[in-house]
Amino acid sequence: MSNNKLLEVKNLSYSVGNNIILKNVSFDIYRGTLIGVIGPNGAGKTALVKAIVGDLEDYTGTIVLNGKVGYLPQRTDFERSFPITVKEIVAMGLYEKRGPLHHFKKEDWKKIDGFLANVGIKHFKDRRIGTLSGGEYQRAMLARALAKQPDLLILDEPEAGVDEMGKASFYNLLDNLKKSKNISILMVTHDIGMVFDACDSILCLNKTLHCHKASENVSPEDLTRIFSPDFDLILRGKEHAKREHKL
Amino acid sequence: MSFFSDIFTLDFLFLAFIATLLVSFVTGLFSTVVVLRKIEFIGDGVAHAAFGGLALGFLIGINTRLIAILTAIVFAVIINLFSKKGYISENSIIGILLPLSMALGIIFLSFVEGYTPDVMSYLFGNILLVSATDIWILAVIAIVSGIAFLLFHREILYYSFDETLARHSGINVSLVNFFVLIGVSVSIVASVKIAGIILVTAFLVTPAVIAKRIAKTFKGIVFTAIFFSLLSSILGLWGAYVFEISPGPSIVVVLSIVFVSVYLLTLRRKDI
Repeated sequence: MSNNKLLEVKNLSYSVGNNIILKNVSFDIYRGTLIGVIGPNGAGKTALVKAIVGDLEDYTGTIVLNGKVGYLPQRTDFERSFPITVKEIVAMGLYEKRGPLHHFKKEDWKKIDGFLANVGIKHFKDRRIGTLSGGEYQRAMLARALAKQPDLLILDEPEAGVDEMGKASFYNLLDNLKKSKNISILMVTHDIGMVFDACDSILCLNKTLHCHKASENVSPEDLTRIFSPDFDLILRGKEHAKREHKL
Repeated sequence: MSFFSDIFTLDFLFLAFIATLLVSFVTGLFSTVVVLRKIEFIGDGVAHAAFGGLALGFLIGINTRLIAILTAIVFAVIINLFSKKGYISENSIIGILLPLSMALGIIFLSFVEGYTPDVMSYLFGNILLVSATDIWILAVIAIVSGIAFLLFHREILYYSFDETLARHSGINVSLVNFFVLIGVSVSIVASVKIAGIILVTAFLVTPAVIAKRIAKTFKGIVFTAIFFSLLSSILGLWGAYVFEISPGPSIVVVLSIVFVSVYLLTLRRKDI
């Protein structure tokens, strides 16, 4: 099992001034698993991801990576008319291997076609990125991350801007990629409705790591602990929340 | 005598014509990045900083161009740093630094003894100030920038689209950012005699805005921006000659007319 360990996070802590963002977070990720990271806003999910991908400095603790990482950051606003095509986005993922001054050849574009086929949007390769729907956009970004041929894919809220149908098929795609490419996927998500079906295990985070369990073992109590009693209100209704938490 | 025959008989007009073409090429080139990266504010701020630098150069009697370029680069780096770190909003920092550099420029000029350069010439451009040295400097800037764009268009495109994605794709974003800031600063200082500090922003913004309404690809926008920049400059210079007005304002008016025309002609396009 230890040979398959892709990521080891040990006692990770991070603060901004007096504000604790992460406190003593420790967990491991093994090859071939899809892990969901859940927690309320401000729980430190994005900070955790940024620390792993190297975008965060000044944290304490250790992060050991045994493999390449493909990263799909949180979606940012961009101008819809920006002149970049879907295939050029995916080509970004090949840049590191090819380096500067490399003129993309036929075989490079063929590879890019392959990554786009992996995520099911090869037919959109010549379209401008701004013309895609939310779900198609995330697939294009996923293809870019896959082009780096990662061992561990890290996705930060990939469901943002995607409709319910799009989410279901996106999670299905992640599961297929995990199996076909034997990679691991760490996904930060707010999609509590689908995360338990989509992921093998769940990291419940609210500054500290409250639990790291197989999806089916995460209890409503685990969720209440990280989301506060308000979560019960959403999950089990007003009456239950009133009774249980004396609201 | 016509405009085009006078270009080859009047030395100052020939120099002005070549300088205008070179300025149009360089600003057309950089306008694509300025507009796509949405850093128009840096162009405006840097242009005003260059005025303070020019005045400081006159005061201390050192190469004015060099001081202006250095001041412009320092200003660009400060704005960039503030806009990235979010200490103070970029609009606020420009709102503070822009009038400060203009104020310092005027104060420096008031201390210059003997010949005091005409402020208006630097604010709105004056082609009579163009020298053969300016042409050589502009030619070098144009060649270096052109080659850099040809070689690193992919890096510039990715950097313009999304810095985080570009960095995680292995692109040295700091280096590209540095190139763009230096390029914008140098091209502004080099354009001051033609465009003037107040008007140079139009040279750095309008060509790419026009091009974006016509071309769909990054390369297409770069070439279209350069084309409209050159076209507007030739027409503007011609207009200035015919109507006996300043070339800088004349070129800016032509650029704006072209923009409005292209905007109206492409109004019905849905893919913009």
